[in-house]
Order: sequence, then C-alpha cells, then structure tokens
Amino acid sequence: MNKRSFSMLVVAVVVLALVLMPIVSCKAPAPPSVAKPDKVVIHHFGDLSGPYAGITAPIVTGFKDFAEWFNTEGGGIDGVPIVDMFRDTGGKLDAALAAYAAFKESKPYPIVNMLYGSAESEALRERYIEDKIFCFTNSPSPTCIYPPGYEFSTIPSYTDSMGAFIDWVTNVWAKKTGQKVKLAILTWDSTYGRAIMVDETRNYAKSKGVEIVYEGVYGMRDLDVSTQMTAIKAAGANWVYDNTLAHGPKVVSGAAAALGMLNKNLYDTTPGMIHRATGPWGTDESAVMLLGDLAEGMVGPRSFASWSMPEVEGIAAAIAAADKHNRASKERVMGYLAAWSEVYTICYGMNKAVKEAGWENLNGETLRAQFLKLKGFSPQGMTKYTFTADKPEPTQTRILQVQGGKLLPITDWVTCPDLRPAQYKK
Amino acid sequence: MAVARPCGTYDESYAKDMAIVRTRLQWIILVVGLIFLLSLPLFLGGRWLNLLNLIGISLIAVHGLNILTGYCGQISLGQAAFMAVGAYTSGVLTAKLGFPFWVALPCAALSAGVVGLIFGLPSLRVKGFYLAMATLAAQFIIPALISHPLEGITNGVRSLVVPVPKLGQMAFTSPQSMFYIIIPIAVLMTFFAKNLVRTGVGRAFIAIRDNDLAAEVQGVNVFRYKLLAFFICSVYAGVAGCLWAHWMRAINPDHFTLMDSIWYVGMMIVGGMGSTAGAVFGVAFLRILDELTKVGVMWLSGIFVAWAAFLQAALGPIVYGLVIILFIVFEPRGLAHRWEIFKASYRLRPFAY
Repeated sequence: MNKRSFSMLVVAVVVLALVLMPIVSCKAPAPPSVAKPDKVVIHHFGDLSGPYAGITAPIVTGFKDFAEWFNTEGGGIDGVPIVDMFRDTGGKLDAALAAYAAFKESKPYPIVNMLYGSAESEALRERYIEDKIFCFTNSPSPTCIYPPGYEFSTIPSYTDSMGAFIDWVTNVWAKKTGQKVKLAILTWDSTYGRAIMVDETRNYAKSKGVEIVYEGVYGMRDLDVSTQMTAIKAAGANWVYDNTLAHGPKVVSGAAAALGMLNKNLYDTTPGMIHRATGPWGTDESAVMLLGDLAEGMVGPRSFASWSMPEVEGIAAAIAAADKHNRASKERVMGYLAAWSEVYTICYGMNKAVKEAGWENLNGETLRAQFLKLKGFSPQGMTKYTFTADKPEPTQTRILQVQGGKLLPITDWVTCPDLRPAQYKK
Repeated sequence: MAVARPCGTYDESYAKDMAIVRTRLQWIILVVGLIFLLSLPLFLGGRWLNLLNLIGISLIAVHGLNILTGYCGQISLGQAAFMAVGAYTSGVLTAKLGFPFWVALPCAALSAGVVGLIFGLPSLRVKGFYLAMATLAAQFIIPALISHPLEGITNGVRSLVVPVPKLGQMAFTSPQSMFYIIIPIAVLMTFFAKNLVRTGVGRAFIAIRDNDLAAEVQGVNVFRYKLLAFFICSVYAGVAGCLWAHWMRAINPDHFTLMDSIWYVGMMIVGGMGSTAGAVFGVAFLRILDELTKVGVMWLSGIFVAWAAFLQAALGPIVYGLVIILFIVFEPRGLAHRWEIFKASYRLRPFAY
C-alpha cells in the first residue's frame, strides 16, 4: 500500500462512516408497552464474580425471596407478578455498559433498573436521563444523583450519614462523657472509601466542635493498618470512623485490638483507647460476623432495620422467607434486607402509577414522579424514604450499635445534616 | 515462517515487496470488509455494538503495547495508566475548559505520549523484568497523582463527568453513533501500526528487540528508538483512554487498574506478539470469550435454577481462565501463528508443505 492508497483508504473510511452514521442514528426507539403484561421484569446489575461479590450475593438472594413473597402474599403489581432479571458485571465498567445495552433492548421497554456500584451508577447516569428509565441505586455518590436526574439513591449519602454520626457523637456521647470528640478518619483508598474525605464533612465536624486529628487511607486488600493506628493513637483520637464494608471494619478493629487500643465500652473514656464507627454499608451483619467479639461496641449510621429487630413488619417477613428457603447466615445480612425494602418501594411506586394512570402510562417517567411523592414512606418499617426534586436521596437514618452480637438502634430516626456538595444546594 | 505468495504473485519491486495490500483480491476483501464493518450498526443491537466498541478501544491500546513490546522488545505494565492520562486530559479539556472532543483527542494522545516518554527513560539502563517493574511504577504514580495532587482539576476520587462528543448538532450518545467514532479510529490506527513496522523506524525497533547491542553496532540509536517506542505506545494508549472517557461519560482513577494493564499484555500474548494481526485476534478472542461466557452462564442459570447462584458467581471466570490456560499450552505462539499456518496451507494447497 503506497501513500496514495493509504490516503484513499483513510478518506473512504471517514466518508463511509459519515454516510452510515445518520442512517443508523435515525433508528426509532422501542415503543412502550400498552397492554397489561403477564409479568413485570425488574432488572438489576451487580458484581457477582468480582471483588464485591460478597456484597451483591445476599442482595440477589433478597431480591428473589422478596419477589416470591410479593407475588404470593403481596398481590403483585395490580395482580401482575414481578420477575427479577440479574446481570453480572464482575465489577467491570465495560460489562456494566454491555449489560445496560442488553437491558435497554429488552421487550417491553424497561421501566426501572437497580444498581449496586458507584462506578456503573456514575457511568450510566446520563443514559438513564436520555432513555427515561428510572434507576434506584445503592450508590449515593454525588456524581450519580446530582444534578437530580433519573437515579435515586436507596440510602442517605455517605457524607450525610457521617453527618448523622457527628450529630450523635456530639449531642449524646460528648455530653454524657464530657469529652471533646477527637476523630480520626481511616478509610479505604477508593472512590467509595474516600467519599467522606471532603470539605463538607470537615467543615461540619468543625462546626460541631469535633476535631479531626487524623485522616488516612488503606488499600481494600490491606489486612494490617497498625502503622495508621499508631499514628491515630499519637494524634490523640478517641474515635475512628471508616467508610468501608465487609472486612473493612475488621481491619481497623483488628489493628486497634492488637495495639491494645480497642474500647468496647461506649462511654468509657480511658486515655489512649479508641471507639469505632463505620459507614452505612459497614454497619452490616456481615461485618459483625467477620468481627466476632471485636464487633462489640462498634456504632454506625444505618438506614435499614437489622435482622435483630423482629418486631419490624418487614424483618418478620424477611425472616420467614429466609427460613422457608433455608438461607445461610452469610445471606442474612443487610444486603438481603436492602433488596427487600428497595424492591418493595419500587413495587409500591409501580402500583400507584398503574392505579393513577393505567398500565399504558407506566414508564420510567411516571415511576420517577411517584418516587418524588414519597414523604417519610416506610416500606414495612424497614427504612424511611423522602425524596424531593432537588434531593433524590433519603434524608433519615438511625445510629446502630453492636450489643451482644446484635445490631440495635441507639437513636430514633434522625434527619441527617445536608452535606451534599455546595454547588447542588439551592 | 516464510511468507508464501499466492500463485502468480511476483514481487517485481521493493514497493511491491513491502506493500500491505498486494493483490486485487486483497483489495476487494479490504474494501468489502470495511463496508461490512461500518454497516454493522444496521444489523446489530446495542449490546453487540457495545462489545465492538470495547474491542475497538482495547485494540488501540494493545496495538500500542504491541509496538513497544512485540516489535521493540520493551515490556510495559503501565498501559492502563497511560490510558488514564489520555482519558483525564480529554476529560478535563472537554468538561472543564469546553474544548470540543476533536481537539481534545490529539491533546490526549500527545499528553499520554509525553508521560510515556518519562516512564520510558529507565529503558536505557534496565531491561526485561526490571523494566517491567519500572513501568509498573506508572500504574501506581499516575492514579495517585490524579487522585490527590491534581484533585482540583481531575475531581480526584470523585468521578469526572465527561461530555459526549458532538459534530455540529449531532451528539454521539448511542452505542451506534459511538461506533462511528471508535471503529474508524481503530481501523486507521491498525493501518498505522501495520505501516509503521515496515518503515525504517519499525526495522530499528525489531533490530533492538532481537539484539540491542548488534543494533547499536549497526548505527541504530538505541536510546532514541526505545524512547520513540514508548512515545508511540503511549500515544495509542492516550487515544484509547480518550475514547474510553467519552464512551463511559464518567471517569475515575479506579477505571485504570493494574489488572487492566495485565490483561492488555495477555491479549497481546494470546494474539501473538510482534504481529498487528495478532493484536486484532487477541483482543477479539478474549473480549468475545468474556461475553460468550456471560451469555452461556445466563443460559445455564435458567436451566439449572438451583445452581444459579454458583453458576453466576463462579462459572464465567472459571471457563474464561481455563480456555486461556489451554490456549497458551496448545498455541503458545498466538492466534496470529495459527492464522499464518492457515494462509500458508491455503496457498500451497494441495501440497502439505
């Protein structure tokens, strides 16, 4: 191929691309379904074969058990059963995009999707808006949900949740002990972990009289943080907060225990000892199981009820469903309950939309409108959802503490301080 | 393996001897192939176009790596990090400074090339595994720089939202429209890679790979060409990163991991090092295998419902890993070698050799 031939080839490729592109781009979108369907498919993607598999697996189980319960005892959506369609992304973004492309082509045109990871929630955000598909995501990353679009978060943001902890530790713990809160932040070196290391939380802590004496990170695969804990001790911290999950809290507590710093007694103020708090996904039964005895005394914000609250209607139903299917203890964790309450809420919204506007008008747009009407909505007492047009994330949570191996609330429902990025506040 | 010409094809000049496309049949195959490739969005759904887009981006990155490692013999384990440089350059230029994609693309390529040059400097002093370790440093330093000191412009660990490319009023939002950006660029960069290795630069690369001392004795400026190979490799990575950013629409340092860099090396090895066609085969094979295992697992999960959880969690990676092991054992010289055998047997038919 000489230079002339090569130039011709370049021109030919470009011309051909320019000619074909508009033809392809003019493809008509799939029309929405108009008739009452025989089933409603709720799609969800997540990492079942990658690093977050341990987190996603109980969510998938909870989704399936809820679907069965809802179809038999909940009456379905206007009598129509729900079916779950899960796609594994392996924690890879390109796989999430492929899953989205397949999901978007499904018939009838999809209404709703659930996501579990920050990376895919961020990458797909604009696509949900363009395609008018509602997404209920377990990632409250500001990049996903602001400016408000079609992605709504299932839990308060990590900054708001930490704000709720700061409120409790200053209003309750500090007053009861008479101690100044000296807080260390030791979290995963990832998007998720570092989400709390922002000016909003720093300024809020300062405004509440909390002194942040240390900020540090560790790798998601690191199993020893003794060096960081030694620095935390030297800085004089009496609390350490991490935004991790699964084995994350164990790494922090393990190092604290090894260095003789671990304080299991919530109101003990022995110098050199440290109390632990973890973020909303760390305040989880799976972390408690991993921690064993070390879990005792750990606190954290959590917007879902725990398995140790059988008096809650949704928990009782979940326990019965898990018993019926012989679910192992590793599946009886927060992910299971999160899926239960999230799908319950989606079904509630769909039911309302169908009743108000009929099946022909059930789509992502009308479901989103129904979610915006949720004010203090409590799916079987499992959580509380209030969404507004400028804040598509829940605003309420509770502080839970590990007591005798159980996660029990030590506060009533509290409204989190609004710590979203300043540019998204009206 | 000696290159066998089709019967009746003679190389009567050096130009003919070096030509990429020699015969009328090859021209026809090329033109029909390109028309077929570019009209795929007319037949394929978004899912498969997404796969093709991913193959296109990976192909660009692997071509760069192949020039550096396959032709010049310099190992790099930092290709994903160089992609991050391209992605962030383009992301910042378009999202924060309002540059159009078409301007950001060459800037991304150039910036990645310059960063690649810096990390290529140790290649003068170290070789082999030691050089691999030196380039591995890029995989730690670049994401750390993006996450921390440059947080003000890159958004750090918070993702950077990247706008879609536009051409006049047309926004490239769908997999179909992105296909017409990614695939033509991948095709052109494939031709550029193929063309490069038959130039003086390409021959210098091969001389360095085969014996750098002998190359130096023959007058090849080894350091200069090694750095040039790093630059070209990183330019390819920069283009791939830029396309990745605008295809994903949100970028984060977590997107560009060491694991991705290793996979790019894996794709090159499976395809066959030192072969442009090998890069195409390696990328297509591994990406399609990945997709097919997912489809297979979903199908099996529907049949064996009781084992669905196990199948979804474990079967895909196991099958994927096994296929790669078997492939490496039975065809260590890569798919390109198998392709050459096939072509030779076709040309020599009915003779065995």
